[in-house]
Amino acid sequence: MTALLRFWISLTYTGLNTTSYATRQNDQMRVLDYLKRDIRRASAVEIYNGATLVTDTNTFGGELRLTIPDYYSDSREEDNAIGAKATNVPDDSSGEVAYGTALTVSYSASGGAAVRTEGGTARTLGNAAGVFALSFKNETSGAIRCRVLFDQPMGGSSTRKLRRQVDTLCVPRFEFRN
Amino acid sequence: MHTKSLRLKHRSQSGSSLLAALGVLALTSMVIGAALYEARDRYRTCHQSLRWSQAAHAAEAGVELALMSAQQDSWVADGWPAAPGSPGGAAETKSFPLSDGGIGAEVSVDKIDMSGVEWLRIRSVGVADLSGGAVVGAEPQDVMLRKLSLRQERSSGSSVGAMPRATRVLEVLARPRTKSPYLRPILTDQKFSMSGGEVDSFDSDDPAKSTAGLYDVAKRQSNGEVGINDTVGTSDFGNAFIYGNASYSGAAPTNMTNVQGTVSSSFNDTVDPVTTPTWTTFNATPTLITSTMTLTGGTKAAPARYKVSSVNLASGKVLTVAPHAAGAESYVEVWVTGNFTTSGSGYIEQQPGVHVTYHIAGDVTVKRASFHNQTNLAATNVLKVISPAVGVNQKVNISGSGAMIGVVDAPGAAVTASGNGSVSGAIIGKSLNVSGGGAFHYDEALSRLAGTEIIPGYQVASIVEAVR
Repeated sequence: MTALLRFWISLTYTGLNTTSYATRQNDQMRVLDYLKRDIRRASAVEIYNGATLVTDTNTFGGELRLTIPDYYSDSREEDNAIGAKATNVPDDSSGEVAYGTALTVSYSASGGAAVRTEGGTARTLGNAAGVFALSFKNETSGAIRCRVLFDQPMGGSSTRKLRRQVDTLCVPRFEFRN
Repeated sequence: MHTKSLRLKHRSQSGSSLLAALGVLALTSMVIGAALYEARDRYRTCHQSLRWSQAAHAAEAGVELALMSAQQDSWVADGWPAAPGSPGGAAETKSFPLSDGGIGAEVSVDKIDMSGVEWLRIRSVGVADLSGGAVVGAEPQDVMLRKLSLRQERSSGSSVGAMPRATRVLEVLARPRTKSPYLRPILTDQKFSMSGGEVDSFDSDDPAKSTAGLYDVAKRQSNGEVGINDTVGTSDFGNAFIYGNASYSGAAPTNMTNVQGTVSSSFNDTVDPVTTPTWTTFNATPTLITSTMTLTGGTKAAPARYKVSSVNLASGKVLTVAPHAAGAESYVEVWVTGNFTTSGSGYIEQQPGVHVTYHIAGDVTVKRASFHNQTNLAATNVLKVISPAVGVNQKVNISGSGAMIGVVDAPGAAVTASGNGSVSGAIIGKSLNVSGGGAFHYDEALSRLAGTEIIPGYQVASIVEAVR
């Protein structure tokens, strides 16, 4: 009976940890999809390590700061699709094409959560339970290396962790202007 | 009696074991069922993420296909209903099936008016069909990000039928291409003569062809073309090493032994005159630059403009050209109605990020070393020497050692370059006489500058993604 109970408890933890791992992996995939989308559509990309702008190709920074054209003319969050979709008229009077006043979008980890901030408003993309860590680096090729790691304690164990790190290289589309 | 009691007890234990086994089986099934249920949801989200990414690639492919037709002006031949009409007209549309699995692009192209110029606007909707039914992702954040068209097409509201789809929308603006005025390191209308020295090229935009944006002999390129329109005199290459082509008109130049590229005749590239600026608003001071002072720049849209009667920086005098904000790209235009001279240790300190254009009506006498261009790009330091009236002689003298990073655009002037220094950039002159073994390193990035002459094709100026 004891053996059966232990087997069942073990099976339960296996199920719970499998579910947690799948959930975190989906969170991680979502964060990466957001990063890839926003870096691709950015008009400028900066990496910060605290308050310091990272300009070299060796140092990782914890915050990615993107300048993104303000395509929509209202003040809703860009992703908020409920309502009108009127767009700003493009303007090239400054020598560069601009849609409205460009937005600043940043990515960082806060309290273990992966957070996207648009125009000062923060939104959690990856659950804090995942103990997410985000880091970014300039590559010599001009690409941006995005590293997304989750490191969540494993249910039923005090030492083991559910851990997965993914690096992806993203190239802003402005690199393709000619 | 004793035997019957034992049998009953045994039956009771068998029943308990069966119940326990069934209970464990039920609980185990619940755990496994929950895991499978979760796995199915997560798998579906993975699939939706993949297709959503593929839709972005499809949208980009649609843009490329439209641009290909635009560059070759082959709209109808490529299957479009017609070439896009004037601004305000209806967009031309075309569908591009790209791959099995319902991956394709719906592309529309029209023209818009941008500051009086007709630009191309390409809107490309990338599509990728989704399998697994009209079921949203596991988390609200997934729904907000990917905005799948599960029952209705999000853009049009029409039914998607039995096949839900992921869509991505790109909007690209492309401006007509213009010809750069600086397509080669040296261009003259009349005689070119050179004694020793070399002409080659580099690309300040390409780390493989420059180091930190600067000329590096180890990364030398062979686009150092010398173009001579002269049909009267006889040019002399002086056995200088030309890492590029030599193109001329009229009599064949002499001493071309060390031309590394192709030598060709019948060259003709119109040298456009430099015209007097037409702006009437500028800073009231200074009106003359002969002492140490600072000029502050402005934005690209509103450059700081100065009009002075002459520039004469003698020994010890420094003209600093500073940005309007630290680290900002800053723009300055200086209109010099008289001569422009540097001598002795006088120099111009052009701070990082500053772009300076000088419009000079008189003669120019400068030392290469008097230009401290800290932006390190030739395109940021342009001396436009205004073409004089017919019959008026104009001179540009560049001398000394050191390296000048900049462009001298003096189509009406007799240009002389003496000394063994170098110019990284380009020179246009009425004539050019090089002595002292000086070097010219053409910055190929200049060939990508926008000019005023429109040529076939388009240049992508903006790419945005509509995320709603």
